[in-house]
Amino acid sequence: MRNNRITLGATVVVAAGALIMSGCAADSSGSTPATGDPIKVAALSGLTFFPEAPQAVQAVFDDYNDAGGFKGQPLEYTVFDDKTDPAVSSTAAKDALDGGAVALVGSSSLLDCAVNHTTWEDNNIVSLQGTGVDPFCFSTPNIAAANAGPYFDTFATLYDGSENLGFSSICAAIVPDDEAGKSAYEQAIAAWSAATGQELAYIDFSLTRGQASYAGNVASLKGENCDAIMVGEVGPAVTAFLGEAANQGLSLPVLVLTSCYSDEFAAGVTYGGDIHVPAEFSPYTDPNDESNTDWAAVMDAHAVPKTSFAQGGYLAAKYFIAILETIDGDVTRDSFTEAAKAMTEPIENPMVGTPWIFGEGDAHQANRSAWPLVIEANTNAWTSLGPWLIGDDIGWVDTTTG
Amino acid sequence: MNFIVALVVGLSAGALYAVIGVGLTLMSVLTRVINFSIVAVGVFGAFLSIRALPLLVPAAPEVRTAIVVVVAVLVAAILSGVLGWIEATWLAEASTTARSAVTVASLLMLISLSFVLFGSRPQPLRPLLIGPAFVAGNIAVTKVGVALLITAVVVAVAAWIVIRRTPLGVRLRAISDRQTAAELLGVNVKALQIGVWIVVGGIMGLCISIIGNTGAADATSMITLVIPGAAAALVGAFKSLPMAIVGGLLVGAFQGALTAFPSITLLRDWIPIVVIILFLLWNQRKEVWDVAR
Repeated sequence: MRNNRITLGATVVVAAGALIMSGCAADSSGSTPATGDPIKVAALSGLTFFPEAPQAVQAVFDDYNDAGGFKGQPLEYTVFDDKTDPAVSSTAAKDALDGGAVALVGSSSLLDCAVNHTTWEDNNIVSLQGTGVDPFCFSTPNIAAANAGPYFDTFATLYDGSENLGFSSICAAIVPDDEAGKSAYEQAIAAWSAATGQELAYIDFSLTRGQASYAGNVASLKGENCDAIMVGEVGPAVTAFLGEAANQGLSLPVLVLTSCYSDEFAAGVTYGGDIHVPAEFSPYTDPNDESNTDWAAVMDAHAVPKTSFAQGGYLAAKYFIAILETIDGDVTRDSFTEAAKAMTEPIENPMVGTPWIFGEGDAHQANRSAWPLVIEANTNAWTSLGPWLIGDDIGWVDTTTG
Repeated sequence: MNFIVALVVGLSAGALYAVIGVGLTLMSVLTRVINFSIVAVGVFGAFLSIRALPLLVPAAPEVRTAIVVVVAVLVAAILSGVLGWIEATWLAEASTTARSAVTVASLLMLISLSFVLFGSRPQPLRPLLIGPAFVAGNIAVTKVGVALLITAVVVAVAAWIVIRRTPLGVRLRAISDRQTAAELLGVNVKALQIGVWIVVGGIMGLCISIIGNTGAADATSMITLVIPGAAAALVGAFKSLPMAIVGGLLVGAFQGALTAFPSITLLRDWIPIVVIILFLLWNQRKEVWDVAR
């Protein structure tokens, strides 16, 4: 009887201890032994799709804290997983605000901007997206993304296809996500038509995220007279799409978006035609590229996979720190937002083709550049082509959300 | 034209369902269990096998591929054998329902283990066969489809020959019909049942290696292929191998045909469920409502 009680008591203590310790381990804060009050920063991410952007931010912040932080204050970073669900995202936004975040840095989600941009505006907080996807990341006053976004990238990949590569009959298959996304893609396509005089031979907006098989979409494409295929989806979906296309005997050149720009995609794809990507940032796979040396070193030191999403997170963190260092006095949500909107000098970084600025304004599309790369047919390695496609030079029109 | 193209493409996908249906039917007949984790062991084996790739860099590409496939088949077979051993040891006398319920638990465990080990992102599982087997205009029959259909037919024929024409088959039929009597007559029930689990597991490992990442290649999507596979097996009433093959091809063809109409293409995922429901209703057609319940 007594033995049982002792065992029970010990078990309770151990279980409680385990619970407490696992709670400590789950806390993804980045504070160091620095003594100052931590500056709290948050991010909302769909961690199944884009885990690297917040990881990259954490890496930059860890290094910054080790070097002394902001006047002795460490940056404390908390990432909320929105599970690509609007309700969870909305709750996560409230949690982030209640946690005392002064800004959101490196958020990377399929729907964060659409769900939360009003919340950010109502609470006078800004979000420096690492990976902005939905159109509200590029058309609302409190959000500025480090990346160029899928709408600019769609415009750039079509422009590259028609003007640099000479395709005149491009067939597109794009996943629209929702009405706002579809409208944004249509705007990008219209801007391309206006700038080049070309039309798409075929457009398939029926794709859905996480679709199990693209057999039907590929079969529909075959009936049109395409000389190139544009696939607007993330890397793993494109791999499945191209696998299916190869199975059905297609080997047309393919134009895809920057989410395919990763070593993982190149290793996993099997296709008999060229695959062209306009990357949102400078090409880190190019051995001659020097702009990414610091980024690569930071990613390697913190074991973050090297993808273009990690580049976005890294840049968002660097932009945050640059704005932070312009603040005199206390760092609060209001003072950071004020500093961000008061920016007049854009930040140059060789990883991006256009300098980045927050500033005043109802919309922010600060990254309007793309760098063309290609995976040649039946190979599994990236070749850098360049040069920068700069939005203002090629007729880009900013996305609006009506 | 579009319709025919899509339908033929669906047939190629249906070949995979046919193989899964054949596997499910075999296990149902020989080991009295509806093995819901039949695809999961194959997927696990395939995903684990690509982890062996970095160790094989010095070898020639064909040798590398061959070793990776062998690893996939072995891992899937062993995993399936372990499950079979659990079933045969602790659930030997249990009802089919209880035995099947355990496979649901193992399915969920394999999905979670897969997330832990491989993450939830799709895996770079290069398919073994790429490209069309024959092309007629826009209509293409894929090599993968042909290979899987041949696998399904070969397995069905081999199973028929073994079960009907060999002493081993007699013993297998004995344990599936009268397990206790067979055991008392000295048939090694446990070993035979585990053997069936191992063989079917290995076949699934091979099939998943063949299809690779031409469909969604994350663990959950691949494992939910068991649903159309179950629909295929149901067309054969979990007894008839030829009908399971036909059922698989039919389900695939329906799904393919639906994708020719973009406005209702989302319904393609409902086809297996509809088939299952139709079969169950047909099965119960002679029952009077309150008597059956």
